[in-house]
Amino acid sequence: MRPPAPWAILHIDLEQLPERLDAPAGARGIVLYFRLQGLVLGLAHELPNAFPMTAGDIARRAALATGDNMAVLLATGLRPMRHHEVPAIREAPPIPDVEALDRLSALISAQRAAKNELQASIIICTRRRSEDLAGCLASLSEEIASGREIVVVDNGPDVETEAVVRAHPGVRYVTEPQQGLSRARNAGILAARGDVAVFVDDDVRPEPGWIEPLLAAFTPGVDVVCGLVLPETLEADAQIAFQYDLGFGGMGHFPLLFDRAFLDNASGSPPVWDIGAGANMAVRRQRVLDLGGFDERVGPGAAGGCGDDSEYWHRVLHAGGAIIYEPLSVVRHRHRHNWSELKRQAYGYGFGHIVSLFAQYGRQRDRRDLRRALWTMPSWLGKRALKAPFQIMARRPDRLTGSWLRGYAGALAYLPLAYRPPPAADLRPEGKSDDV
Amino acid sequence: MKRTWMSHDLCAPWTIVNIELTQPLTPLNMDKAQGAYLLLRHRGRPSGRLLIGRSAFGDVVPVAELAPLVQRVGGSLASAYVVYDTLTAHLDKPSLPPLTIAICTRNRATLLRRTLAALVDLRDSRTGDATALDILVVDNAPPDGSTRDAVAEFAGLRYVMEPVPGLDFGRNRALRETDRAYLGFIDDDAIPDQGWLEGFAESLRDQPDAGAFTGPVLPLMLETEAQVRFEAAGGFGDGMDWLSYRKQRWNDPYYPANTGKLGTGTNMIFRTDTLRALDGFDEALDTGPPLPGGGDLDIFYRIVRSGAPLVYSPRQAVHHEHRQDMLGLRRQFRSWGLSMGALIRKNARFDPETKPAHRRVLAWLLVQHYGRMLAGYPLGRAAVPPSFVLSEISGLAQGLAGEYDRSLRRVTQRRKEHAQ
Repeated sequence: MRPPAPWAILHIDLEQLPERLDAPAGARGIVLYFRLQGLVLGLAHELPNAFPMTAGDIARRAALATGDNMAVLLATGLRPMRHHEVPAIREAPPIPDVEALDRLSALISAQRAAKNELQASIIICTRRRSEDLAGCLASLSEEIASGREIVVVDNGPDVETEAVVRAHPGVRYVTEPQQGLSRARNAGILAARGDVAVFVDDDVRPEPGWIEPLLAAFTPGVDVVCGLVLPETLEADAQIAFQYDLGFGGMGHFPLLFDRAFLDNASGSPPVWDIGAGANMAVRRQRVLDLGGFDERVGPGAAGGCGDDSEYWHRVLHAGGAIIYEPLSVVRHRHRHNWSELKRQAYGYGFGHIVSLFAQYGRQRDRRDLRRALWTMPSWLGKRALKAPFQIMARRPDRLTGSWLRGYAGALAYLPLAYRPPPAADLRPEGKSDDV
Repeated sequence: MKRTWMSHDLCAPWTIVNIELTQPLTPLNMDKAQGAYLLLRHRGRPSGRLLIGRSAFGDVVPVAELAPLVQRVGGSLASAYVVYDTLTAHLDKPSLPPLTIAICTRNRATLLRRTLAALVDLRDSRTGDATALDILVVDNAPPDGSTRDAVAEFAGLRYVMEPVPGLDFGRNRALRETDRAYLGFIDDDAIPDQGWLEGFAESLRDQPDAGAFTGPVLPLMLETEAQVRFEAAGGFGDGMDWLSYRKQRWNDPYYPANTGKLGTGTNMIFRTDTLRALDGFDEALDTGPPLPGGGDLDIFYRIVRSGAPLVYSPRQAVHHEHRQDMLGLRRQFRSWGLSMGALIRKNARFDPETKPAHRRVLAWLLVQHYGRMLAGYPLGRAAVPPSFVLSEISGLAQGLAGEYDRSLRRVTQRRKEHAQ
């Protein structure tokens, strides 16, 4: 039973521990993120009654939240682990010595300083959210100033968005009149010139220093790098539900490597949705072009919901490429504030997930995907539906299952995706694009 | 994970081994013992406990088998200690406040001598405390002078006699007899761990407004079957927690009804003012048969419900000599059930806000806890015979059936008798 909103989020730098921590006024719950050189080493949840905290108590709280993760990261030397290796290492990492925290800090610092020769372009796909976009561009002012190529793909397109972009000379403006996030992403890929395209959603605020770890992770063979997505605020119950009940990837503490072994080792459908989140994702531009771009039938604005990013990751893995999850790259995502939007998101997730499974099956013919879509997911939904009346009696109503169910039902109409071959992606830009 | 003991390992004796995690492991040799109880320590601080029966690996456990078990059981807290040490290196070192340690005892002079010797050692080995440790013996309704004589053998101890029988009468007498800001209790069959007072001082530095400080109660020896079985059943607390408890707890549907986790009377230190504000211990509990328990759980409950924090730290540990005989142990199981039942009824009446939590604890006890204990029996994995579990359940039933009220009446009677 978690407390109701609003919750406060506190970021605690382990190397600059406060002498005292007071409960943020009005917060009914507090989430503490413990950071070491920017890496989220652990987190804790506290009620306001735990405050004010003395330095020693903060240290205890931080120690309990971060000790295990520190041991694992030192055991691997920050080298990305394969997904299936994680349980064994987590189970019994070697006992750290007294200098361990300082050594980990130095390791992270060194990792952050690593550079490679790749050029990056930032791509922001946006649709009718000019205010969010303005805030996003404001948070990227340093990148703009340093001459990084930034491409805004307007999937509206509308004049407000264009105005916001024009207010930042140096940011390129591209329109994509045909709706669909995948389509917009493809337009951005075509327009950009860097080796690597870094996607930033318009409702995301990257933390300073988020881009270098993404780039550094592109060792040969790596085609996609995803980073950590933190909630920007948890002021509304809907935001809390989005963070804790909707479940999306890109939340881990350890660097991870996904490759063929990930596909082979999974007993059911390989959980590509656990890899990361499209809200903080970088891709090798040429690879996207080689593989035919993002699947324009799938995702928001097309079939709907989600799955546009995970379908691409699935294709990358099948083609022999590797994906890295790099927790050193951190962005903050503004979750939806109200319940109707959250329910629509839950609908979209339920829906898009199934549709992308069909699309995946249509390309790769992996029976596990079809089994998940036609057996595993309905069973899971059915169980939730059966539990729902008991949840209501226990005064913990499940507010999302209805949306999940409707999403599933709607997705069944897209079963033909599983049996039709995908069209060759039309990657010629339809809209206008600046040449800056 | 491989099971490390079976029911047939649970005979006397077992050997107790301290393993320092910062030192390289060596093979574990059980000699003639039926099993080994490993207390894992990181720089002296308890960080885990592991029971390995002879049937798991034979009488010598090689390092290759030992290492993963030790890492898994002790690694979490050890890693936490490492982080904690780094983060607190710049803080003022913890210091011991003015403190009275009280031992409430009755007719156990031999055992008492061991406890007193350990406490006097602790007191005399400390330098740099602002005020020296005050050690107070409360002799509860003694039949003779043996306790007083034992106390006189040591230098600088205080002795008082509390005529009304009942452990909580004794504890409240200690409360009246102390002028220190902090008052701690240890039983006459326990001795403090080497870091007991450091653990308390550290907890106090980190949580200066806490009302109570508790910690693990570890076994002093495992020489009889009853002692071995008790530890295999979980002893005085399974995990090595390091927690600060408040009036409410995040996402814990059993809290605060699961007071068993908050600590045990054998190892508790209080802020004296907090105890006074709550009128001390409930004398209707811990009365000896028919209600020989509950006073500790009750005070912990009332302290957190009053809004004062309670801190449980693995560093604040004592070593306790468990019940030696099986019959005595079974009676103890019964008395725990009894006190639990009595407290559930008491709290339902005086603190109705926590009724749902108490209901959930009851449901958990009946279905999961006892169910699991009984189910272990046919699988050869039970720590105690089914009769023990049934004993506890029958105690619980009796406790729920109004034992607290009966005890209140008995105690009123007792007070009247002694007033004369």
